[in-house]
Amino acid sequence: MPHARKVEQRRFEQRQLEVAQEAAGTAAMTRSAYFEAVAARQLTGYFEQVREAAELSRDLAQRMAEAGNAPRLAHMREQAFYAEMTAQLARSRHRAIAAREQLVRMLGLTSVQGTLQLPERLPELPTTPAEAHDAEQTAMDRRLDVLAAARASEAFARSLGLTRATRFVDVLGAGYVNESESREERTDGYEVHLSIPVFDFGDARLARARAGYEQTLARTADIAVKARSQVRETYSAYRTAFDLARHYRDEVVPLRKRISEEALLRYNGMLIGPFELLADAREQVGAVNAAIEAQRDFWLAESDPRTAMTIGPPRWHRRLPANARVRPSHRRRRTLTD
Amino acid sequence: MSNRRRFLANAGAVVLGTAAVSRSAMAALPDAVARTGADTQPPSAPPAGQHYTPVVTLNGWTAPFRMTDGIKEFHLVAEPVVREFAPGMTARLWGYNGQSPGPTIEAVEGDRVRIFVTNRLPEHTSVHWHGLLLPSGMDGVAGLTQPHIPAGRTFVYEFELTRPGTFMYHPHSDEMVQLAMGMMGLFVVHPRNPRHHPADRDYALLLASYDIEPGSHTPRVSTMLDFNLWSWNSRVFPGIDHLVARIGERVRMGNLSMTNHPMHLHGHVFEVTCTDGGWVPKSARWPEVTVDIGVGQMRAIEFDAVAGDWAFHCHKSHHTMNAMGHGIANLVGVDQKDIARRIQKLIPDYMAMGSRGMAEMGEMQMPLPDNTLPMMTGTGPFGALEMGGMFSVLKVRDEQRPGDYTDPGWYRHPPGSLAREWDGELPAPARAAGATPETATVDVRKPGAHDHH
Repeated sequence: MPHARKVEQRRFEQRQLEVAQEAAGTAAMTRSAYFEAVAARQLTGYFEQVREAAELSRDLAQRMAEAGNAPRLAHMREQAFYAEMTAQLARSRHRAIAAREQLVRMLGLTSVQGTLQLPERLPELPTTPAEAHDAEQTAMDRRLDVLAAARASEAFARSLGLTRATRFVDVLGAGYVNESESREERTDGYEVHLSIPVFDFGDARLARARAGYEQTLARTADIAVKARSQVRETYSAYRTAFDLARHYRDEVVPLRKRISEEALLRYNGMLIGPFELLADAREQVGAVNAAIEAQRDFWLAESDPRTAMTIGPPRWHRRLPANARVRPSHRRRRTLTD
Repeated sequence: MSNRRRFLANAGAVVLGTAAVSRSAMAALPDAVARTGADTQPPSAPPAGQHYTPVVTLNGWTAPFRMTDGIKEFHLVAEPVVREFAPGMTARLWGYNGQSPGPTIEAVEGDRVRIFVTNRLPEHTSVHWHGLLLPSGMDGVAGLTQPHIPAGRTFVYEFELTRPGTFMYHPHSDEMVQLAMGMMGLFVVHPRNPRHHPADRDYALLLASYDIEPGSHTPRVSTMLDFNLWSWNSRVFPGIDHLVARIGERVRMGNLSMTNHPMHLHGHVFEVTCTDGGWVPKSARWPEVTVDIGVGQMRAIEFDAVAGDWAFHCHKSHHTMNAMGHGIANLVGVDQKDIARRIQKLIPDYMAMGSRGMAEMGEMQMPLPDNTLPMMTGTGPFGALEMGGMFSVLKVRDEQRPGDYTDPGWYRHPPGSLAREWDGELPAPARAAGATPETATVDVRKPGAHDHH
């Protein structure tokens, strides 16, 4: 094979990889934009409820002030809180629009009206999380940048005219230089291999060529090590996001609901008043909001392990800037008669 | 119900107090009798010694005694107890012999008493005989007049009852905590002369205060003033038994709460005839309808009972309430119907309360936190009583037989002696010059115009 053609072959493979990564990246970005848009819309509903609770407190305080039961100061405090919540709702509504427009751009839609119908809520969590069986091995077998590095290494050997592979070495476990099998780095029950052929260089005059080949092997090993690390990290992020979303759904939200039920019992007994009850309702909505955010974070992290296993490094910092989290204060506020 | 159980079968386990006690006294301890219920025990005539008219401890009982060589022996066991404050609410307290307050100790002026105190609390204790005149070394102030009684040990007190009257007993050892946990009891010394201040019926009660957070059972022991349950004998309305009488009455009240209680009896004029300091000479008594009982004071009031159902209560109106929120918004006169509808969208089971006052609390049955009594409750023959805490009824009947303490039911009012609704013509009410009724905020119900509302 002429040298130029081999170079072209390498360039082609490199470009192929880049395109695949780009396509995967675009898909992931679009996916993210979709979940962000759905979540932002859901969260706006939350801000509406918080503002509604603040509005009720304000209205009640106003009636009390008019009836002579509370000072104007109490009414003004409730009014100030309501005003703040109104501003937050406006910001939240813009965030929902911005997230939606981001999705529109990602999808390349020309006319928004009637074409982009977002669901009311995020999809439910899967019943069980995906397990990480063979994830790292899959990355070694299928991940594009790893395969490209291995192919480049082989191509280099071929360019030197080397064809007779004497044996294979695992660039992860044993390395090229030290072929001993004692350097087991994992002890948790599975092994990951990335096998590369070792050629018989024979003549000492090929020492430079050999050094060059070793370099390609080192590069392959480096990419493979990073790939494995990324697989582990993305899986941890995935699994943590799953556990957190489930934790919010199964623990935090039901607990807050029970707290609200107890608060209502205390209200029934005139142990607390309507202002405390409304403040508690706001806190309960806050827990639901946190659950929505956790659910969204799960779906944002959901495809990363797959990307890390099959394509290349996932874009970890692709979260939309419009998604900066602003939440109303949930601290228990002073009652009117404090 | 009483159940008898023996504590400390081995007399060798008994630890002597600082004062010398005769050896025969230590041969065996008298049985410690414990009670599990909060019903009122009928008066128990003394099985030995001089006769007297025994007291009725409201929702309580009198400790049995045994005579040993002419000495009346009692056995108090300080221990954790469960006390029902009223049906639907129990408290985890410390008390004596299974209940709080502890059993009333009754004896006669001139008696010599020997009182064994076994400590089954997790910490040390002591018993101070509040108001009794006795040797300093029997006064029960741990650290000052005796060592603390360690957990698991028994001390013995022995002294002569030199003067008649109504007294109390309570710990003087980690006193703040042990009082807050309900450790107290009555100590009645009857006059040697039965014709001295006789009474046909003699009721005894101890005023105490507790702070038990709604939804919990154990009093908060660090509370200084902000109590939420005001009790007689560790009971609150509607759990306090009624006082039943025919003629002649003496009520003895001791206050071991943390504030004064102006105790008010309807329908009677009474006199304070005795304090824990002694009998009040007739010339020194004031006719009263309310007597204020300070912290650590005892008052005996006497009156001639008058037929009827008569409220008897602390006149601090918050003391006739059960646990309630004191910081909640005042919505009296605030229309919140439309707001309530909107709140129900956020909180489906929400119900607007307080716009017309709080009476709806006494009428409605709403789900409350566990182990929590309504702040005001109870029903009488004419509707909701809207009471709690320190409230009971004195039921006086002409036909109540002497010695009969059974509930005679509600009073049947003689014809013409009962308030009733008027539906006839009314003269215009006189108002102060220049006064205009605030019809804008007060819903005035005009007579003869029921549709105007």
